[in-house]
Amino acid sequence: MNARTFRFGSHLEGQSAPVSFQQVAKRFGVVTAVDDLNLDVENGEMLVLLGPSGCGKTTSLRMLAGLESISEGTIRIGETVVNTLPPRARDIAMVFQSYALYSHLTVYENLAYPLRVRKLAKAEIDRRVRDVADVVQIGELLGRKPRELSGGQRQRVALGRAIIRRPAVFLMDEPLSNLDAKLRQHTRGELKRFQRELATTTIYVTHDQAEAMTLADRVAIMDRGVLQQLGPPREVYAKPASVFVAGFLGSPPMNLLNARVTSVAGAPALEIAGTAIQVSGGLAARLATLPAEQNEVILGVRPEEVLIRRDRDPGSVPGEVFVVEDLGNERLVTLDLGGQFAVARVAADYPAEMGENLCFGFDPGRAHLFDPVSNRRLDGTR
Amino acid sequence: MVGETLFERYAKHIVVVMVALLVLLPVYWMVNMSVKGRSEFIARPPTLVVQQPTTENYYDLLVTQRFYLRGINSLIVAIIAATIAVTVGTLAAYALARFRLPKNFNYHLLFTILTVRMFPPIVTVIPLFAFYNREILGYKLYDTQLGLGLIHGFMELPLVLWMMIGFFRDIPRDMEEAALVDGDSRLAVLRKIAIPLAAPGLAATFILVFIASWNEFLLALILTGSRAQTLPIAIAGQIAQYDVKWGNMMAAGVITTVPVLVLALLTQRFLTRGLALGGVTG
Repeated sequence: MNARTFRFGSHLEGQSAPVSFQQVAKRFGVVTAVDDLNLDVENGEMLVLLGPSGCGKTTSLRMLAGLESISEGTIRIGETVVNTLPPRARDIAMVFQSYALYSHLTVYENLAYPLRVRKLAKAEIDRRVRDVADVVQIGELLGRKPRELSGGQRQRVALGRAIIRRPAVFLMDEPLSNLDAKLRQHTRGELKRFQRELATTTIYVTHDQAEAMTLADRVAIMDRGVLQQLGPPREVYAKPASVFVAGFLGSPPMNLLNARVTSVAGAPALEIAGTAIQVSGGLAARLATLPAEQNEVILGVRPEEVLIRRDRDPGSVPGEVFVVEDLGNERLVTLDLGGQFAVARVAADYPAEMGENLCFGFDPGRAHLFDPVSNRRLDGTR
Repeated sequence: MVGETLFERYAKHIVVVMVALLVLLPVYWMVNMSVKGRSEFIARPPTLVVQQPTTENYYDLLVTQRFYLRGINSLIVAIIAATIAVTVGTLAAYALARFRLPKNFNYHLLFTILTVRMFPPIVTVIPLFAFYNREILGYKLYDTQLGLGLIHGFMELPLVLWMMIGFFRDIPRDMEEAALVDGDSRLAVLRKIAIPLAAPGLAATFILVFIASWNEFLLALILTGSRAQTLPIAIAGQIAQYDVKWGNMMAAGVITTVPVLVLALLTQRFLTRGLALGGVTG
């Protein structure tokens, strides 16, 4: 797709607008799907709603689209409160997971649909349909019906139908999840370029963290109807606000180990699986600032930050290699630390055998601490 | 299929032929008898294939009795019935398929409507007769095509409702929601998305109501006199006080069956075509 050739010229009918959720809740009977959602999406921003299925991300999107009523709170697009407006009055365009192409209409008619509804002149519709078809590279498919298209082509038609009208906000509900892995990655890149060129506010729902990380200006991570963390992808990855976020982002996810706060020779230390380890540097300082009643913590270490040692030093925990998985360019070594498991990402040629005794170490400056009761991050800094 | 014995291979063909014979024999007999003269009709044993074919039964029906006028009545009544039932039923079905009423009220409504089919029509015929004979705005429904069409349409409404709900539920919700987001109202979605996609189902439903009305006897007997009389009543009319015109009756049966048969054959391909919802799956 070459977004550069895509010109709406003087035919802007809408301007991109910010979106704001204020204390928004959605209840289905006794079930709360979304709870007290506060979220401001800036004008032109690409915000990704990320979370496992059933976390309320799609419900939030559908409330914004007007396809689902709002139980509590206020949703604004620009300055307008849209709570009671029907979808057609909200100036949005949406790409559905299933693409939702009109199966009885041709590709041309599908693209023209939003324009025909708005009663644009025939010549104008024709010009824009051909423009958009060029941009999403489906120019030669205009006469076909959706069932005669491949998955990737359908996805392009769905995208074309969304961008043909310039709405205030784009809504995308897992638009790439029905594509095969290779096409998905390619389309992901195109989508990102597109969004930047059009500079239209976009809210993108996905359960795929790779999509979220690559596409988002900011990521909003949700779990069980509650917004867990909002921030730029790198920040969310580097400083997860809760155990859920820490465990959800990253592949394989962060190692989360139960640890007891203790002391060795007066210095703060952590006891993992019965082994007290000395900690130094930043981690020691952070442990020192914990309140006295904080006896238990969850220690978080990313697999790429695990340092495997052959011989035990005071800062590592002895363990046994549980399994070794080869990924071609790297290996994942899972260590059994007395019942708790930790995964280490190591070089492809790193020697490790199942059953071998190795020690789990980590860079104390890059470790994370969480509270096992509230599951929140224990410190503001790294 | 692999590993079939000779018997297994032909057994299904034999069954098909037997069922076909069972179904088609009465039809054949009706046609056979309709072209027999009076003497051959009462012959013992009956002739399996007509010996001296004659058109006298058809002549008597069509020329002497002007039977086709009853056909026109039947046609108009059936079209009125099917149009009313399909229009009202489709709108109701769409609403019930797409909007959820609280406390499972959708289901209760559907069930209540179905009860229309549960009591025997004879129960309603007498009050209807009285009602139809009353002048409303200077107009009586008794013995009119509109009157009979209305009640036929009403009687078939549950059928339309139950069928159309199924067809509407088969249409992916996403597709309609996409149209809502693209700028349509609900009614426009129904017109531009739901109805075109449910068209084969709609046509099938229309034809079922048409046939039901075309063949309906009891209501037509009580609620029409001479002007709006339909075919089934005219067939029964071949039983006179001193004589049963069997030949006429058979010919009338043929004349009544043929239009419906032609209609069904013409629309067969359309009727059996499944809903093509290519936007979602292959």
